[in-house]
Amino acid sequence: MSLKLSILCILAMFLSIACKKEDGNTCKEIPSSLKSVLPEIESFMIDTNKTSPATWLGRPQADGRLIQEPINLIIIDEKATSEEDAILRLTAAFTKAGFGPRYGHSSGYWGKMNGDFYAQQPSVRDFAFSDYMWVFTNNHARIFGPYIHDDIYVWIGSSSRERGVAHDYVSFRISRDAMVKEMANYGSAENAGCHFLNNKIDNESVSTGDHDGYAGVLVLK
Amino acid sequence: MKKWIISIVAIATVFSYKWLLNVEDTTAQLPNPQTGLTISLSGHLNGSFVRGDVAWSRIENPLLTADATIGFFTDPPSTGSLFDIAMVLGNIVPEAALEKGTYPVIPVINDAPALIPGTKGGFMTIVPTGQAVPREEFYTRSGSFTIDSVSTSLIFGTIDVVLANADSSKTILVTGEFYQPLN
Repeated sequence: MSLKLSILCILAMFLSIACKKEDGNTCKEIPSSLKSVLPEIESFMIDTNKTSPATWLGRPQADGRLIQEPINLIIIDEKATSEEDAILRLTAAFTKAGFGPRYGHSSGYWGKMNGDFYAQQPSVRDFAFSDYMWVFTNNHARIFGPYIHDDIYVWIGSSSRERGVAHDYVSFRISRDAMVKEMANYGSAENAGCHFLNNKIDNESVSTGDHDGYAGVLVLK
Repeated sequence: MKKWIISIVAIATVFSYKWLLNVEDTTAQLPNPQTGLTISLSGHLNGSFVRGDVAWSRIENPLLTADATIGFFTDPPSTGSLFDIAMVLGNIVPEAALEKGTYPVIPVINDAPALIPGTKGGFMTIVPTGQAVPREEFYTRSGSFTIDSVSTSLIFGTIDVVLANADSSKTILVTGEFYQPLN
């Protein structure tokens, strides 16, 4: 084998190692055709004050660190005909999959795309999309948007699992993966893969729990 | 004389001590208590169940004291069980804690319990497992819970409630006990 070919092979090997997904995540990155419709996404849910990331109501975890709540869902709607229609379709999709709007969750958070703030859906105070009543351990999500460009509506969301009654943090991954799975199972959406937002934190004072840095991407049907 | 007085005092002390040892424990005790919920269901769901898998917690609310409420709940979907279950009791009096007594069932409307300030109350919800979406859920409509004993370390009592689904076409009668160490 020539020297040049050997060097190329070694470079290719290092390149493949560098591209290995964080935490062994096995989901497929979305195709460039979907990436091209995405705006610049602020990768954390923003607190009601619009100035700082949401941190599970400021409640420190067992290790004393704050939990910063990542954006871990992206929902693309190519069929909505207006913002109102997009909201209805989003709500219908979550409801069909068993995550209808339910009372018992803090609200008033924000998402940010291309520098603009987007309010929360469900828009009713103290509601979130959730699979079980707040007294149970449940998977729930707050969705923000829609960002609209070329008649394509983009939502971002933060999905998390909390422990019943106490509302303690349990997981971001379990909730995200459950929502992606059920939205696809019940025909609400197509699981388009995932998108790396590079929003995993693990330092002395703050963590994103079990979040792996990826958002699950759904395309509404 | 002095020796007689000392002897009488000593004997009296011994008998007092023996009497103290035999004082009946007035705290009500359940025979062979099982931690969690020990319940019998009849109606849409039937059978006797011991749900030792329920977790417990307090509701965090700045308007309530730390021990004014207690909740028992499962982590859905419970594998190997016919249903998921959750139950909450509250004493909605400022500065108050849970206390012995009757906790009547309070309505739950769109997941919001209709707790009335200044009163005690409770509710239960049951969600049968293995359902496709939309899942049918049951909420208490009548009956009551009774706390027989509550302290910083233990709570126990009884359950006698009726749950129904959204259109009241199906009911579940739940009777039984709850027993939970709190430390």
